[in-house]
Amino acid sequence: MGQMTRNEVFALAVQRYSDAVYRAAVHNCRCTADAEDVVQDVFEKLLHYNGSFESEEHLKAWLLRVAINRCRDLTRAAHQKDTELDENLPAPEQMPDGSVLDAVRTLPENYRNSVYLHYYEGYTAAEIGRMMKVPTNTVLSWLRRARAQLHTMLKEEIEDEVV
Amino acid sequence: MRWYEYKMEADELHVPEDLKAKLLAMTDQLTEEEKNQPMMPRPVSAAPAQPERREPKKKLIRFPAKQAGLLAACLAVCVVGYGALSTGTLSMGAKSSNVMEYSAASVPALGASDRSTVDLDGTEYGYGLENSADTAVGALSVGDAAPVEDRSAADSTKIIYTASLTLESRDYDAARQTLDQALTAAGGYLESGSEYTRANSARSASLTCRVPSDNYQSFLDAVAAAGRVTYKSQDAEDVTTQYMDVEARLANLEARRTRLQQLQQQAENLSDLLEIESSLSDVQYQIESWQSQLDWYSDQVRQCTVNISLNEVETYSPEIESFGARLAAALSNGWSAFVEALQELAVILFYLLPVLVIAAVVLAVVLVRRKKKKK
Repeated sequence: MGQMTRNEVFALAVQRYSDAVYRAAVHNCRCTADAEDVVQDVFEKLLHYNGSFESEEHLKAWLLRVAINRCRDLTRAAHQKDTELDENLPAPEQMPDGSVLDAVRTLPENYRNSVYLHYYEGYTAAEIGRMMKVPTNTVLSWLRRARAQLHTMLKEEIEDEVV
Repeated sequence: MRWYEYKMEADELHVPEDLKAKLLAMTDQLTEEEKNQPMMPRPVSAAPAQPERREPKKKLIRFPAKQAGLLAACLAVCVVGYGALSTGTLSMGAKSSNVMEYSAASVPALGASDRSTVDLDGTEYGYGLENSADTAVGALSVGDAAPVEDRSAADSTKIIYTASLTLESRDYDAARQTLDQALTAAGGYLESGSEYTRANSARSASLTCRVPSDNYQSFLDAVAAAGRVTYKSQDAEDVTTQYMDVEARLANLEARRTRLQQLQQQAENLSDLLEIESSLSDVQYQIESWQSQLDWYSDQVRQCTVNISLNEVETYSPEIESFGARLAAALSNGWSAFVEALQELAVILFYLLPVLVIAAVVLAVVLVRRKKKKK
């Protein structure tokens, strides 16, 4: 048994969970460059984190939680700054092209995060509730509304699901 | 809802490798003490459990009485489709083992520096031959051909060799026989061939042979020995990059297929299942088309193509042409052309003979009548 050192934990987190963090970031950022910044910030935080983790699952949940928070901070900062648009700015890389992922990305923040955590990462509503510090039923209604919005966006039949 | 599509799209998202490297390098900021600070209990098993992706609870598919028949029909289609697909997958499995062989053979080529030297050899080789063919048509001897160097190194790269030769021979039958023997000895086969005889009873043949690349050079030497070479060109096309490209595409598609098959097993409702089926057959089709291209490349690499044209001549084309020789050649060519033209004229006359005879008879009759009238 024994304990994994900070160095080992960090390497493990990068190898195994950087993709999950990146995916969460892509769901919440306008372009991939922003998402990459978020990934870097999240791991920076992990590097200087003083607590400890109970398990790998705990580590993963922590990383996702921090990533989603970081994205929220970024969006808020962007709203507050309200800077003038620079004409030389490159166009956002990922234009919506009718894919489901793009549709999910246009959902409100809480909806898209719970969709990602539930449908991709496989967390239950209760777990997502714990992670986002909201009641389970809130998560369930987010998911339900998200499905309804996706339904109108994609004009497809949505199979309601018991979570 | 196309959740499987969403899953596949999210699957495509990966942290760029350079960012990963940057992240891993971040630990350098830590002091030794910080690095060794315990942070998490080591997982029990040696391979820490990959956090199992818990699937959301499955919902029972409701069977409304009205649609029960429709659903049953769909189910039957699915079962049949799945059966057909899984047999298709099996046969593809056999094919993909081929791919593995190819890639195993070509992997050493990737990093090997000898690949570039082979490339260079190939190009030089082509140039040298083109030049010599241009400057001294008819003066090429067998020894001029630069040998293909380092065949073993060439094996790891994918090069398509093509050669064209024009031969002339006074003894056509012997030359033809020598060619056949050379082809058998090299273990090649005749892809296409045609022979024809010209007016002055000179025969000629044009053959397209496929020879295993190992025996390529020896076959060329043997062919060159069968007669006098008046033209020879060799071409080496390096298709390693294209080959790798196709291989990579195939690997990608196969990964996609595996993922789709996983999703198929997890599919929760019929509409998902049907969509996955259609994506799967799409992927399967693409895999097959790329596979056939890969097979074509490996066939071309394994077997070189040699085009031979053999002409029967009475006198070999002169090697060096002095002014006198050219005059003599012009005179003799002119004379033979003149004779040939006369012969052609005679042939045409004979061709028209029946018409001419009838015309002569008619003319004679007319003339005789006119004379009679005058009288």
